[in-house]
Amino acid sequence: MLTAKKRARLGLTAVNRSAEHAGLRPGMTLADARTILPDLTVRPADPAGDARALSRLAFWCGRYSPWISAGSAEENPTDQSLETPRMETARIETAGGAGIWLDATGCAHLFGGEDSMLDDMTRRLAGLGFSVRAAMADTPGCAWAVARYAPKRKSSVVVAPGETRAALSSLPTAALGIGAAMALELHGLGLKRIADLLALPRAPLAARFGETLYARLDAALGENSAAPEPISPALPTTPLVARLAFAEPIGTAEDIAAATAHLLADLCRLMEQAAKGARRLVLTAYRMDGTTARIAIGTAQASRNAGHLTRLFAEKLTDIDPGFGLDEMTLAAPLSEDLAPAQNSLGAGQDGTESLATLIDRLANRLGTQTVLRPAARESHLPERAAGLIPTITLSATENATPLTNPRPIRLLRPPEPVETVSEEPDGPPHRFRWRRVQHRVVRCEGPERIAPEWWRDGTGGTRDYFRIEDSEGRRFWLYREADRGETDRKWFLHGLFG
Amino acid sequence: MPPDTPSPETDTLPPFSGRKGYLHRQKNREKTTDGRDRIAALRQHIDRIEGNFWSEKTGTVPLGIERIDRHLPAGGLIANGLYEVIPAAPGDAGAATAFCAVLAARLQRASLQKNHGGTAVLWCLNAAATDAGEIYPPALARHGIEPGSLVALRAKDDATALQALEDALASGAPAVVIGEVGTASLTASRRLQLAAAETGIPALLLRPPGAAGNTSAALMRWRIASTPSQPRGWAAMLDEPGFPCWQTELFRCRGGAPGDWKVEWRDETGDLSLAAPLRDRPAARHAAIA
Repeated sequence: MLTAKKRARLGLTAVNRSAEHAGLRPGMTLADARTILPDLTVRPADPAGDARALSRLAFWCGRYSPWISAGSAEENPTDQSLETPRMETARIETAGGAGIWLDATGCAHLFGGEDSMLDDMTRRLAGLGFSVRAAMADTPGCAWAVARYAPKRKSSVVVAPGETRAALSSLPTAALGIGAAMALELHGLGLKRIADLLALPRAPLAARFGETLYARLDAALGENSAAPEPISPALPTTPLVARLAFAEPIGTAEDIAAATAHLLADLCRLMEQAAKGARRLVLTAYRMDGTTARIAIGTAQASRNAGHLTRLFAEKLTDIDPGFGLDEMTLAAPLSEDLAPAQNSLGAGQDGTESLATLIDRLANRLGTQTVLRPAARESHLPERAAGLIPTITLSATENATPLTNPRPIRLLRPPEPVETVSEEPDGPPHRFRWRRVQHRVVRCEGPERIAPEWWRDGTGGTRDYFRIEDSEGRRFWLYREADRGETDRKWFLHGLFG
Repeated sequence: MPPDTPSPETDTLPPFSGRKGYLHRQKNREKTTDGRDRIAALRQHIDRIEGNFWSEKTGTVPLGIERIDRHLPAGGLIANGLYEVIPAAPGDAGAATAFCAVLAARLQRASLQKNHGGTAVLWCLNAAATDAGEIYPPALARHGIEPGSLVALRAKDDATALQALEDALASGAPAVVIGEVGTASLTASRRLQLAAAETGIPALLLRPPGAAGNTSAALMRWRIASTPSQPRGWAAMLDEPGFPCWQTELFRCRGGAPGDWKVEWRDETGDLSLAAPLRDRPAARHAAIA
């Protein structure tokens, strides 16, 4: 049972435990492996699938800390290990290379301390069928090293604050994450452990191995004013988070709704203390089987009105599939704005009416945020650019455009539709034209109104001559002709209908 | 209809099976009541059956053309009603939209004058229903709807549009709601009319040309066609279009008679007026009440 991957030839990328006992190692060719273990099972490697699974797992870890990141699979993932840089950074990673990082700053006390947090984590992950190694340390580098290279006695290791140097000393130099080639070279020089490195003067080694070696060492030690290792979180972090863990998994719609209401009340209290209002809320439900469900709502105006937000969620809660049950839910406000505390205006909302903003939010969340629109005006001569409808969710206010004084149609066709014209004067309107298979005879006409393209923009087309036309029935149309073409291949377009 | 004047239409109302029984009971119970009270009571009863929503309280919003306002049973539009505007032909979509906007602007202004009325105009767009471009806010401003008070909604089909309209009416937030709706069952329109009556917010439906044949619970149904304008002054000399003229046919009016008028719209003043010279065109061919 192992995974093979195509390179120039078939080689092993990962082996399971029994194969490892039989002497198989990642990197072997499949032919060699078959010689050692003729009845082995081979599966093609699926790096994309691994990455997806890892990121799913990373989201699941969001139950422990809002700050999570799925590490990349550098080598070969077999068993998962978690690294939790503590101090003010805790990290999780999967052994072999792929891992998950957690910033556990200020999170451990929620789980009864660092040890019990890691225990809980490894126990739950083991229950999901992963073999896990977790480590928590002062620096990400140390947690990474300990999770991967510490003697495998326990599934979780907590390196106490200030113990970083001691914890690292006994580990092999490869634990610094310096790459196999450099580790081999160091090994050749007799520098097998990190302690050996620490004992030597820096300059000669730095000259030989370059900056990387000591940069990694300093980062792992958190010494010599090393810059903290940058790790990008998978999700934007926010201080506005409410969480609710359930003693028993829940699954019914009423329970989910009640839990959401509870979370919203908590979050609204938090936002009130911070004088913030949410523009976007994300509700994450953690299922028993290690997967997550996520729904998001947006508001057109910053809000911390629990009743309003509950109504917005109410229409989407059915999208949460509880699966085998939910054991935890979190509610975060990734996008919030300052919202001054305000007295609830007396009488508002008592007569059963709601404000326009509330209605807009409700419609936007049900029909899609792109479907609720406000008129927007731009400084432009092109009619289709000068005015239009933009989603209310768009933050930018509309430009102060010069009001149009020329007549404009009440309905604008986007894009303009070509019309067939019959007999025209060189600079005048056509005598007849056919639009959507109906013939119109032009009786009156006003124009042309010449509108030049915006040469500083691409794709705005050529100069247009617009005519306001009334046909024999009194219908009014806005026709234009491409002005800068030759007389023969000029095309006419219908751009709008007047009232 | 105004409750104090007896109306000749009472007899032509569709027969109601319970009316006879009701009369009978009334006669037996209150033999001493004089005729006027009885008529008032009957009228109230009929109003209840018919679902007539106007009363002294709701107030009327005049269209601004005296002849038409006099023709309408309430003396104008009423704030808690459902109205339909239907273009006579696909090419009249612009005229119908404009007429719809003019009505909406009048209703919105009436709402602003109330104490705690809404201010916004909610326009539910529906490309599936009106296949003639999209409303253009600068032109709406010329018809009385300021872009600042406009909220538009893009519905993907009629069902979505109707649901959104009903929600908007029920919320009580906007001043007017306008919906572009292709097909709507009688039930759907009745739901809208009830929602409008409930919260006192007027609703306008802009329908496609074919919709005139459908039944609807709307208080008034207008069919709008463009007619040639009557340019004056320079415009006439230069053969330019004059002010827009519309043939506005009120082909169904609950509690009132149909009518047909040619009106002229002036966007500078925001005035509707009967177009000269056809200042008066009684609807002789619509003798029966719709």
